[in-house]
Amino acid sequence: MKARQVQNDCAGAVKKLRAMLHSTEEQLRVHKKQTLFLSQLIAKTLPKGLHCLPLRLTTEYYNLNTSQQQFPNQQKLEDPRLYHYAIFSDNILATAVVVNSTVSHAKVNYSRSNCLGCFYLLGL
Amino acid sequence: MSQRNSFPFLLLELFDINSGSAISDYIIKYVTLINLQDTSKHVFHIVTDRLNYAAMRMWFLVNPPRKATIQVENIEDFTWLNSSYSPVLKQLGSPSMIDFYFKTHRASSDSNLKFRNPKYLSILNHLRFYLPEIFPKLNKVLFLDDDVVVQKDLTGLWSIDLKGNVNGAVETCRESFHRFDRYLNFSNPLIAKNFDPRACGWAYGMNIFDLVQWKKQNITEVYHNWQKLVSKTHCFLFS
Repeated sequence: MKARQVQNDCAGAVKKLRAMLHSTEEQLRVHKKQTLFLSQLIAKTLPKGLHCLPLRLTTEYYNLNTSQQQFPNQQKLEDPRLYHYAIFSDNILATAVVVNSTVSHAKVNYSRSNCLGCFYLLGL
Repeated sequence: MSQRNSFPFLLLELFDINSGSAISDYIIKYVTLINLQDTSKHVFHIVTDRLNYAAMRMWFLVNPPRKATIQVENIEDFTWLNSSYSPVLKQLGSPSMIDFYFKTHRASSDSNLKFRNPKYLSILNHLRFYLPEIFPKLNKVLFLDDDVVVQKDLTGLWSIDLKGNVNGAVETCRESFHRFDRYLNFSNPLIAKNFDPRACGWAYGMNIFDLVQWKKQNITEVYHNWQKLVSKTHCFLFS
């Protein structure tokens, strides 16, 4: 009698567990679908300029104090004897490539690291 | 080889330069030449929009380009650049302009798809027409697009004699390719009177500008006049 009851309980427990498993799986499926939808929504609706890199840089910039936010040599900005370049862009990485490639080909030092630049320049 | 002890050992190591080789002489000449250049004489003026201003500054504060000088400005700080001064600014906000860029067009107009990229709606793309206003104290400025990768020293561009011209650029035309008649409508008498249909188109990516000549020839006003004409008669000026 007792054994039968245990068996019944067991069958009930298994049934209950199955149901729980099923509903959890169902929940998981729904959440997965929701995640996919939300990440797509974010990717499509986030303005281009708010992607990760500019966002991080912006936060870091406003964590600096005013004196740290200044660039050196500002007296050179209006000196007509120097080489002035104008770059108008909303793309930070692209601008960095323009500036770095210009500078790295304007001068090459006799040092190991900089000489990588001169091999590139010579097409070697 | 012993005569060239001052030469970087890395080069010797990798190329096993012997003193008679033409290549080694070339390398030495080239490296010596570029060594005379000094990055502290280079000044980069970057203008960006409000959204990217702080990030752009932070990037170059953390990654300074050797000894070169950097300036980062926000286009919204140019208070002189407003729709009462610049006809193109007035047009950019107009409904007909927005329709032109964002509405779907018939298949027959697809040849002009390149010119209907909404990026031209951004004032950053029209800023090149205001170089004397942005740099009132400079004589020459090299304009670089942000899709350019420089592979050579550019300082020679400042000593080119532009012979009174305002803009020095690389021509991109072939026999019938990129000539003015491909872009402008020469059946319009205004166009026919002012332009040569065989004149060559040029690359926008790297231009040297003589700002003294620009001001002397009042190019900004000429540009404004054409912009006003375009807003009145858009479809008649372009082919």
